[in-house]
Amino acid sequence: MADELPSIDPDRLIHEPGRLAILAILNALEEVDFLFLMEQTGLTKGNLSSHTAKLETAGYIEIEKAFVGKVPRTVYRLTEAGSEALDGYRRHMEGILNSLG
Amino acid sequence: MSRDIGKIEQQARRAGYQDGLLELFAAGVLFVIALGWIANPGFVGILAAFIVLYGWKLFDRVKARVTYPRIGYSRERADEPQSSAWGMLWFIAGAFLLAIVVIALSGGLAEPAEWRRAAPLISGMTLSGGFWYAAEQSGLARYRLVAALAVLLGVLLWLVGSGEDYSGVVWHLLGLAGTLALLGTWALVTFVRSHPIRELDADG
Repeated sequence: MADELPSIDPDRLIHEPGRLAILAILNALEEVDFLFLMEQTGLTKGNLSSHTAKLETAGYIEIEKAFVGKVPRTVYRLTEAGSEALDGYRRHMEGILNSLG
Repeated sequence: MSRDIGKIEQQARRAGYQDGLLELFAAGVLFVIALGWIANPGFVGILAAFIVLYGWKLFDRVKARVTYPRIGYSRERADEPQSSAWGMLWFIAGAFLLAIVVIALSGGLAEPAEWRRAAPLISGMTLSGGFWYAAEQSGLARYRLVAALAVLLGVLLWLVGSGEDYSGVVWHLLGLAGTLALLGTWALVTFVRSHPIRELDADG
């Protein structure tokens, strides 16, 4: 029975709802800034910074700090590795749900 | 779970459309093209290209002042050919084909008056493709409404038109521009009221 089921252990880094939301947003758009991520995820500034730092360390997102005129803007983008990880996570979860009927 | 991811993705794409600026931009473009058509139909293509090229920069500047300080900055993906973009192109190609069939059936392809009469129909079908694409991208129902209105108004003006001049297509463009201006203004006012400007420090 256990052989028929896919592994139930997903990518822990992505499985956390806040980080999953960040990756999904970055998957949908080319690039976004910090405020956009805050608005869309509903995370606090501290939580968002912590989650994006973990995703950057894992190589799933890239962060670029720049100035637009005199205004600082931190821009976030999904990397190739992040895109593959999100696809893998999606397939993994669908596999589990399908195996449960 | 993947359905949830899909919802988050569509919500993120929709966020960039909620300010109503795209409607106001489109209204401005259609209004100027309509006026250009009245002045000289021969220059409409050049005028449209000029407005889209330079108007887009103005559109970006307005977004930077109105939208980004409220909900943040986002940029759509432009590198991937999306099925809805291909769908729009096929739709527009189909619309032209249909218009040619309609003109052929109603009086002959060699008759300039029939082309002038069918101009609002062609305009309606073409513009509806663009708004259908925006609806697919954003999931916002108001773009489907505009797409449907573009076709309905085009058909109506084609049916009542005489083909003596291009007044049908001018009325079509002005009608859509007016509708878009109203929708855009309503969306913009709602957006500004419900999203105060957010202040972030250098980390943001």
